[in-house]
Amino acid sequence: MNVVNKIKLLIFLLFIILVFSLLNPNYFSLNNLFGILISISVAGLVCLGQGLCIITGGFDFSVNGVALVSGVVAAYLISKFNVNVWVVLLIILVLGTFIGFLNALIITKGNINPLIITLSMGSILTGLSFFMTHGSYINVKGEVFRILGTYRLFNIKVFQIPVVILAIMVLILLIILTQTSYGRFIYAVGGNKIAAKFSGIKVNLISGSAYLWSGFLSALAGYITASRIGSAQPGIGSTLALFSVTAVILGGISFKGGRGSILGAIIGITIIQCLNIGIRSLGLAIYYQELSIGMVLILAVYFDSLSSRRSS
Amino acid sequence: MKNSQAKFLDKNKKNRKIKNIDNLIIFAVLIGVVLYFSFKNKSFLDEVNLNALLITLSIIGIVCIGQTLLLISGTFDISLGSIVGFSGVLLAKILELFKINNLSLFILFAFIVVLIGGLIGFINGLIITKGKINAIITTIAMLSIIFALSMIISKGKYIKISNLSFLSLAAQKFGFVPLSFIFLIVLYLIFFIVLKFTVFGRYIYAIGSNENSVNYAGVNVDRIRILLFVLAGALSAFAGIILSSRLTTGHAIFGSSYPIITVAAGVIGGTLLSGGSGGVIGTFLGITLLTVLEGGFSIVGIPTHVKDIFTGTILMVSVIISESLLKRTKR
Repeated sequence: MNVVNKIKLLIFLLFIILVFSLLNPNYFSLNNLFGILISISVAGLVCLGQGLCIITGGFDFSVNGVALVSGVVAAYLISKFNVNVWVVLLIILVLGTFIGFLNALIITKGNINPLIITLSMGSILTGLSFFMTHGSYINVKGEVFRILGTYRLFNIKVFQIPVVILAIMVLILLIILTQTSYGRFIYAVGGNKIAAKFSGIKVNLISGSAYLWSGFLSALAGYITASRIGSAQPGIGSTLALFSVTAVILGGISFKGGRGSILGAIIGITIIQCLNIGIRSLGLAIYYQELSIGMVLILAVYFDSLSSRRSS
Repeated sequence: MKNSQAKFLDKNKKNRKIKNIDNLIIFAVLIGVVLYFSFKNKSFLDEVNLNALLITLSIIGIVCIGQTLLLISGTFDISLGSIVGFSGVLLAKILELFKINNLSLFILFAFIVVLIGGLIGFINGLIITKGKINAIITTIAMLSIIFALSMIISKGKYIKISNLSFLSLAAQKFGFVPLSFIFLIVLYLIFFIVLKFTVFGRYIYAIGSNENSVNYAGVNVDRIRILLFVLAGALSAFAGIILSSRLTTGHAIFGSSYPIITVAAGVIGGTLLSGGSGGVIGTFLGITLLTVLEGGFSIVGIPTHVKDIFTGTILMVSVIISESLLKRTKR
């Protein structure tokens, strides 16, 4: 994505913040902006994975299922079996990556529509989490579990652990995507699969690896969400898949694959969360969020197809 | 030239044979499942349960028709489930607002709601064909918009239905056969004939297997695609009205699991995700099998949360099997 597009997005973002600040003076308060920052950091992790999947030309609709099941499994292991919190974190990350691996295996080996596979995977995982919790929530006692979600670095409010984690992940992925050959392969596979294949890139391996990233990052996001509220509950984050796809495409990662930057995805999720929290601050019911995000998604995809037509 | 043509015909015959065997296998599995559940629980095949099963089958079966047509043409619609919920909410709200109690006005407004369902499908089709936007993304966005609209109309609550003709729509029966099942059979017959014996039906298959060649043959592909989305939307709205009538309320969440189940039914019935093959008879067997399994689960006492796991697994496994079968026949 070029600089002009990024500036356009930032102007759009400022416009949204301005409108909501005029409608509700409390919107531009420090507390509220801080809340927005936290919500960006959790959803942003998911958007990074989703962004990678879309760059390689697929996408992942199991992100909410993965986030949900990892929160539930973490709470389950800690409260029922007293497993060490850090061991649980490791288990969750492996679990998320493994789910991503299953997605990748079926999608690339069977050459099957990623939507159908990840959608059914999401449905299975959601069902599993309801099954494990019987539809209610699991509370986790103890402060250690809450470190990742609520502690802050150097006791500075902005340096909350989730924000720091997101910043680190963005940095790592930026370096990988722009500086390594693996990163260039990811763009190559998304841009032109056949050309990539003929230049000796292991296409299945590369495009499959995006789902592994997505599973890993969604599991991390799910764990942080559970850690923030100190409990795991089914039903949380059911809109994550929709929001992440919208954010990524809004941020200029082309739906046709091969184009866009991870930073765009972060700008995209920033816009979405500003919109969400703005709608909530006006006292509107939560489903107005879905309505507006759905419309933003259609517009974003429309502009995406316009710009890709122009460039081709 | 002649040789290749003969080869093509031969392969076609082989494909058709595979499809027929598929349908027979599903039919055999269906009989087996019914026998199993009726052994497990004597009441599985009694009049009340059979009636309930047939109503459930009719409602989701009607949605399946539209989804199958779209699958054959090489795409699918994730927003159909939200149209099911929306139409129930909308009709219940209209009847409540105008305090309508007679039959003729009910039919009029039900007809209008079905048309609105078709209009939603029309918007989907227009965005997808004229805006050249991916069908998956469009219908997912539409899903969230329509779901949010029905939540806004109903304020997130159940809307009670008081109109007697609306209530009796699902309750109407002849013996143990519900009226809605007759609708279902008639609709399946119509679309079986459309797919098998009309030019329009052949175009749907042709678009699914090679859109470009149909376009070059001078057929207005966009118009057919839009029409398919309209049909799917209208059929879903009709199913939504019956569903609300059965549950005596309207709520946005009704039908939210339908997108996955309807695609699964189509795939089990031999319609490929990649388009160009399949038919409504296979879908009918597929959705009957899924409905009987679900109904049987609740009778045997398996908790409802397992249903999500079940439908997800079924869809995944059936897609994997059908796509690998496809690869074998292509070779």
